[in-house]
Amino acid sequence: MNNNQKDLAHFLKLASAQVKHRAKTMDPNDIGTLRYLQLLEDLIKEQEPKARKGA
Amino acid sequence: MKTLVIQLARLGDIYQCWPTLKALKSSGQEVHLLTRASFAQAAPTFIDRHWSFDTKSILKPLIDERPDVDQSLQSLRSTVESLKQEQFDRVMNLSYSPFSASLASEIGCAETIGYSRHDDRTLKIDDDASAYFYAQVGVGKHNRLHVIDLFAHTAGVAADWSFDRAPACPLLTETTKGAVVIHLGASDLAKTLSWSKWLQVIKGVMAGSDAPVVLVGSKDEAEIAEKVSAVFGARKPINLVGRTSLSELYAIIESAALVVGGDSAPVQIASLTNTPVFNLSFAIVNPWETGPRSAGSRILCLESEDSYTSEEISREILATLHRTAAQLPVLTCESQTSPYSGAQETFGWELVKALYMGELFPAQPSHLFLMGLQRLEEVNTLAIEQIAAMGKDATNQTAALILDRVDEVMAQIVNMVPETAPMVGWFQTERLRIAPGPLDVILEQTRSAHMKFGEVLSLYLDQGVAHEVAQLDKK
Repeated sequence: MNNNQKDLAHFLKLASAQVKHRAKTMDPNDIGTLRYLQLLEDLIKEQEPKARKGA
Repeated sequence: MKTLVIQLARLGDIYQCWPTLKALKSSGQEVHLLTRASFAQAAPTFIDRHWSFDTKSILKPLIDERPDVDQSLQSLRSTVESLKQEQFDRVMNLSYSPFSASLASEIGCAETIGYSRHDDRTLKIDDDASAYFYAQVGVGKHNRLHVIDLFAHTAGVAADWSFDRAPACPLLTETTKGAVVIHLGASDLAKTLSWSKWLQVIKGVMAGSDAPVVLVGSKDEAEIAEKVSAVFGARKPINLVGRTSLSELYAIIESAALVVGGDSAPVQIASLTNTPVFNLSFAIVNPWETGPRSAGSRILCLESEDSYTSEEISREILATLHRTAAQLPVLTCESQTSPYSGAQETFGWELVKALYMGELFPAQPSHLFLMGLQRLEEVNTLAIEQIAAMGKDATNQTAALILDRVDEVMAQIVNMVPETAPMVGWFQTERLRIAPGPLDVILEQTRSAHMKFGEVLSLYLDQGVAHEVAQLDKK
């Protein structure tokens, strides 16, 4: 992994922590927002420098 | 019918969707395409509307000094709500990725093709073509169907290769027409040659042909291009790296005599313009899936750039340009609609064709394969027993724990006997396609999947062979 990718990975880890923290503090009845948080989490995971494809 | 096609992968993937998009449009549908914002230029002009998915605007608030999750969510929600308001009749997810599955599910549509999600967020694969993609497509697997054809098959159309000619382009002059267009870079450096190797290859090509050589690529690749072209004297390559838009690149490739490059957007564009390609295909790519489709193309597979000398590579490029016989082992492409020739069938590919296309199952390749199948049959039988046990007592923890380990054991068997991979991939995907529901329904469908797997295994394992393998085990 080059330096740019390391920086990106670091930022994405921070972003993921933010999103997870937000999800934990939410009212679980707010299903709509929870789904968007899950969507955001998926988007973050997909940006991580790694091999493409696979679900 | 109003259709949204989701393609959130890279440039090459977007170009590989074009024959499907054209076919959908030709059939009279209203066609919308969603791509990442940074790749918007690759959207074709013949579709009805292009949508940009701006990843940066969604993620940037999260990595600012003061992270703002609410702003990210707002940006994401706004994008998704805009798409929902279109009330598409059908969503086709041709991205085959975890996030795109979530997005397709969130847009919500009467008909969703490709990966999406069940309400419990597990992966949902309703159509058989996407199930094939999940199980059999990717580097290191045995698939030989091209993704262009897979996309079209997923969409239920035949690929349409009839594209209009590119509009006039000022960069297309008498000195650039009929050129050998060379792309030095790639999205991954492991997919291309080093600049020093490229230099020798280009020297060889220029020594063997009067055709102009044009270097193309993105701004990020300008440094490599400068290094290469600086070495030449009066007759040097025309360096257009970082100086063309994608539509200008399309026009230049359309009028070229040959395109040379790795797995990259210029090679994919050449497939659309039917410009012959000499493709350098490295080990991190499956050339069968993403190689060039233009008539007269040749694919040279390399483990590394040292697999062949620069003289050998430049000679093969010239042979492709002049349409003379190949000297190196290459795959050849006769037309946009025909499969590659030049390689023997493999057991793995024949097994894939048997599992999915109704062809005959190939003869077992080795005793090791039979031993692998024997082990799979033992694991499969054990799994069916545990499912029966859970059917009697849903709280049976022992049975649940054993079932949890089944995939782990199968993975170990595939590791030891790679020829079993297509079978295991097929079975595991069929099991994954079981939707959430009442436990008794899931157990029955899981049992049914295991039984089908057992039937396939039994095609190779009969009493005599099983006995033979058991004897081998005792030694």
